[in-house]
Amino acid sequence: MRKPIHPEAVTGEPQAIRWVVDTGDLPVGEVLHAAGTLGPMMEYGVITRMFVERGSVWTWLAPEHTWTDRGPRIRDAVVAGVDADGWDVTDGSADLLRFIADDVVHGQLFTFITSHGGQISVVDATIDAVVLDFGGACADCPAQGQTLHDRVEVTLRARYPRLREVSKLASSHSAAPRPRSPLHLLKRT
Amino acid sequence: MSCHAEPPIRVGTAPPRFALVGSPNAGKTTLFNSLTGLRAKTGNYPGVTVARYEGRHILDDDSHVTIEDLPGTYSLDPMSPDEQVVATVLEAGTSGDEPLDGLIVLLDATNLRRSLGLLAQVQQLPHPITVVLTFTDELARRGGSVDVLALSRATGVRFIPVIAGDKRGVASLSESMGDVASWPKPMLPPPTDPSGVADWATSVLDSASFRAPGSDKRTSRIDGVLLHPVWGTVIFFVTMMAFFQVIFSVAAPMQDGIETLFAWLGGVARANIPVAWLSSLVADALLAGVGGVLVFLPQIALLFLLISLLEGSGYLSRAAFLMDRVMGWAGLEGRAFVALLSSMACAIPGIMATRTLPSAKDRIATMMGAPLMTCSARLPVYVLLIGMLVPGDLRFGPLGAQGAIMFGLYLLGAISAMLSAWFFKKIIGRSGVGLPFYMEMPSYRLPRGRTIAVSVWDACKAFLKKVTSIIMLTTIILWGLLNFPLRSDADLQRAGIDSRDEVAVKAFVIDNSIAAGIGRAVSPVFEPLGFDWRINVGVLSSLAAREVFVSTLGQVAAAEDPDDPVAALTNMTHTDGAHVGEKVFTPSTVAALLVFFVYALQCMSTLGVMRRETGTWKWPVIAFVYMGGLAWLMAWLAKLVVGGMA
Repeated sequence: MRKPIHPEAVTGEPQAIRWVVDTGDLPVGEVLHAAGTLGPMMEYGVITRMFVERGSVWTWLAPEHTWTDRGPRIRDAVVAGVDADGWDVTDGSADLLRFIADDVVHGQLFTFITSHGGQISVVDATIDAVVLDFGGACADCPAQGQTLHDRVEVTLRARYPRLREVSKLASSHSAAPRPRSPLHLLKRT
Repeated sequence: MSCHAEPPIRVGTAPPRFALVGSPNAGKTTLFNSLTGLRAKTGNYPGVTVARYEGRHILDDDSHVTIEDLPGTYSLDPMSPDEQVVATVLEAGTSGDEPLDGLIVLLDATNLRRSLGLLAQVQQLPHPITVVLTFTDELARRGGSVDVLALSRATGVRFIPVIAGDKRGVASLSESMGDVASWPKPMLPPPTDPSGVADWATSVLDSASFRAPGSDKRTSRIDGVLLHPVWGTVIFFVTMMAFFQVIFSVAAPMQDGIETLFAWLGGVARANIPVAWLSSLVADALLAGVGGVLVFLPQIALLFLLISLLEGSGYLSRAAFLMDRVMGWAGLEGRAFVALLSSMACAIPGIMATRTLPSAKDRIATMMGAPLMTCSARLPVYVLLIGMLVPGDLRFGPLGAQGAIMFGLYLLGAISAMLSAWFFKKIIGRSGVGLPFYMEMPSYRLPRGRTIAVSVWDACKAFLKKVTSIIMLTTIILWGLLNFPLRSDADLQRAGIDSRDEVAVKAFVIDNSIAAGIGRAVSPVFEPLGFDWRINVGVLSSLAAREVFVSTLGQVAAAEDPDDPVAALTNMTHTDGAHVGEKVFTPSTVAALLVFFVYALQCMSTLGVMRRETGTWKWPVIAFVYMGGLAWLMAWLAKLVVGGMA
């Protein structure tokens, strides 16, 4: 049986597609050489960049091609490739972790985060750590901040196992306006 | 279809057009109603929305857009005429003949996997798409869940959850229709091959953490009984029986009220209009004739109230399912039953509902049966005749005899319709392998008051329109035929009639009118059935519309005894022929008439629609001739049987 697959857009990266597909035991990091027909696609420059994470494959298409033209063939190549041998993938990638973190805070967990009054953005990422700006959400409520932090960390690690730590931006009392909870008002009066 | 071309560029200033695409029961018609305020019926089974509906929706900035409600469809493969319509409109929307600015695809959250198959097909088209996700409330109630934002990300199009009765979803859809340019587009359309589509749908559902709804416990418990081959059938018949009891017992008082009103108005007209012929036209033709049909408005309202209650609660789909088994034994397709069921209101939507049948042979066979289903136009005739046949207080145990006979007539019509469809299918030949048939079993719901009110109101409006147009016109023509040639005093003297005796004069005029001539001319045909010339005229006039039979008898009776037309009708005697002096409306004649009306195809509109749907006069002619012959034969048998019992 073929593996289920579908493409998702990558915000701010018009030539990129994140293929949501079961990647099995493939290592997580930047792809140096891909298996199956994906290999030649990278060699001839149709695909300019590729990452693998747990549960998706990120591909960048060369600017002279369009996804409507190349998409179906690349989709088939990804489905066949994830089960094939011959991958050469780096052990982790700071760029990949940054992309994943962006996807988690703006996509996957967006509803959850906003429902907690939060506004998280990614400040920086290294090969095994990520720095997040939690906006003002958690300044006044440590428990809630911890809830958000833990949830983001768990979600990130599931997709990027090498993750060591998720840290908050030191000056989380940023200029961004804080959501005013009734509790907050009570405290001031 | 596979190319992802740019959508057509609009020229001129026509308002933006959007089409609603979705499977039957996805809530399309409800959304259409709340967007446009136009009324269209909502249904629980496929085939309800067959006609093309267009409406206007006003945006926040007061500009307006056109919304087209396409027939419900499970796919864009043009298998049935319905799906063909959808494919054609979407094609025209692409090629620029009737450009579409955007498609609004409705997906049923409780049936998401199958719905995504339709979305995958629609996404092959170049149009901008927004998805309206319906029944998310029911999904939650049945223990399912889905992440709507994740659905949007995974499919590349925006998902807007809309719950019936909640204005927020519609408002948000309305807002987005004002700004089509901002609708997100997928990076690339979903696959086109079936297994690719299935993989895509699985992947999309997984990433949206979709949990399918468990079957509704309450619904499945109720269904265990209602769909049981024995108990279900018993309950179905008891329900239907009660249905017709209600039509008689509840509507009767209201009917009496309207009757009294028209009798009083007739008296006023007779007393106050000095011109004799005008007074007769108003009192006899308009008030006694047309008014005589209007009397049945409460029954019509009640019939549609009950039908929409059954439909809105989800029971009608179960009835269709039960009857589908019966149809299956006869080798007929399930969808054919849906068409027959629609014919209970009127044969015309029934015939149009055959468009959901993929095979032309099945369509024709079903069309040949549909007019035999008891439509609402027969109701006034049945009520009038049954009232003459048995008294209202006669009861069989808990059941009123009148309601029981009415139920019997509906049953006779339904069985005959199915037998006829089966027979024609045998003659025309088999249509090969039956295609899969989806019949939705919606969960039991409380019917929506507004939908019911709209359905009853529409039915009453249509009835009133028919009464004031074709029925009134035919009645006036008949009045002319019944009152001409005019008689001079000399004529009356020669016939030995006292010209001061108004009733005698009127009886003489009518008895020697053009209509009487026509009625007598055809009497050899109907004589064996016990019909006299007045019934013949009634039967002939009912070819325009069945209700005219009632107005014709009303005219004749009012002329004979303006004070008590009902008694005049009951006591009417043969004026010539072998039975002079005997009562016309004997039980055997009334039975023959009732059966005649079960079978005869007395409806010009039905013939017209058949011609349009088959593209030839051949089938309407065949239907008219076979039903006419059958009507005569069955009426003759009924007369024999009832005459034998009496």
